[in-house]
Amino acid sequence: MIRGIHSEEIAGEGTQHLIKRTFVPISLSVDAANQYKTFKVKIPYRSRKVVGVIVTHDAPSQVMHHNRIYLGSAPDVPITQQLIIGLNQEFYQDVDEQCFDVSVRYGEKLYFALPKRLGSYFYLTINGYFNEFPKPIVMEIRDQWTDFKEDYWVWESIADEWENVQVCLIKDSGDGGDSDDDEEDDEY
Amino acid sequence: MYLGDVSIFSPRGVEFQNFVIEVTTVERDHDRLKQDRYLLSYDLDNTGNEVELNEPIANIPIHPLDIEISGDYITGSYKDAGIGSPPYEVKLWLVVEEQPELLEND
Repeated sequence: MIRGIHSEEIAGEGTQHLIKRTFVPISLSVDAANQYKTFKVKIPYRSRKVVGVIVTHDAPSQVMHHNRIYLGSAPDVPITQQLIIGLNQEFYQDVDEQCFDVSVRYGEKLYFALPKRLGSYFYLTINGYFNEFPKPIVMEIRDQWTDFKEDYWVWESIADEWENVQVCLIKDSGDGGDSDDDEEDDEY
Repeated sequence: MYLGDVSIFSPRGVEFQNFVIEVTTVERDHDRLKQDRYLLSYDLDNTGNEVELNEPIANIPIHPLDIEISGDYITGSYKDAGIGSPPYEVKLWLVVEEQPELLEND
């Protein structure tokens, strides 16, 4: 059991109440289309009401990806999932150039992670300069919101003396990487 | 994508019904419940451990998802919409609340 106790002071007069809430997980397996599953679960003693519901699932679909980007400043340490998900989060937009303002703390490096599924025809610039990142590595990242795992390209900046910078993700449409990458096919 | 719909029942009938349209459907009071932080460290493999949140608050707001419970069990359902690709697993995380305890001021 993980127990969290909030001890923050709340300004105001009158009485205070202690409210105890508990997550009750329910797992349902759907084996066929249009299946109807019911559940009945025992709840903790003294439970009074349901005040929230979170639903997660692992159904495969091509249209359910969030295309989450992770970027930001972090200490120069081996790249781990914990390091990546601790960065700022943005969403990929299908445009030729997508830029972000990033504040890099002194002595730290700039990290950028993009779903590998989006292709290999991207490169990054810092303040308009190329070649500030070596080739990215591939790492599996578990989305903390969805519990969905997928491979990411992860870039780590070469230099660590940046401050406030603009990082741009540029789509290189010249060398393909998509389904339409065969020049000979284009002639027919 | 509309994957299916979740229902939670109470003695008065279906108290909550919502479509599951993305990887995650979240119904929450973000500031009060602070669920994200707890879910981060929670066992997402669903081995049956529970997370308990204790939070002193000055006023008891009425939450839009308040579903009254009667008895030791809660029931509900999930219906697949026929658009997804079974087999898959749906996990419901019910946030249940105990009767508030009045805190005495010293």
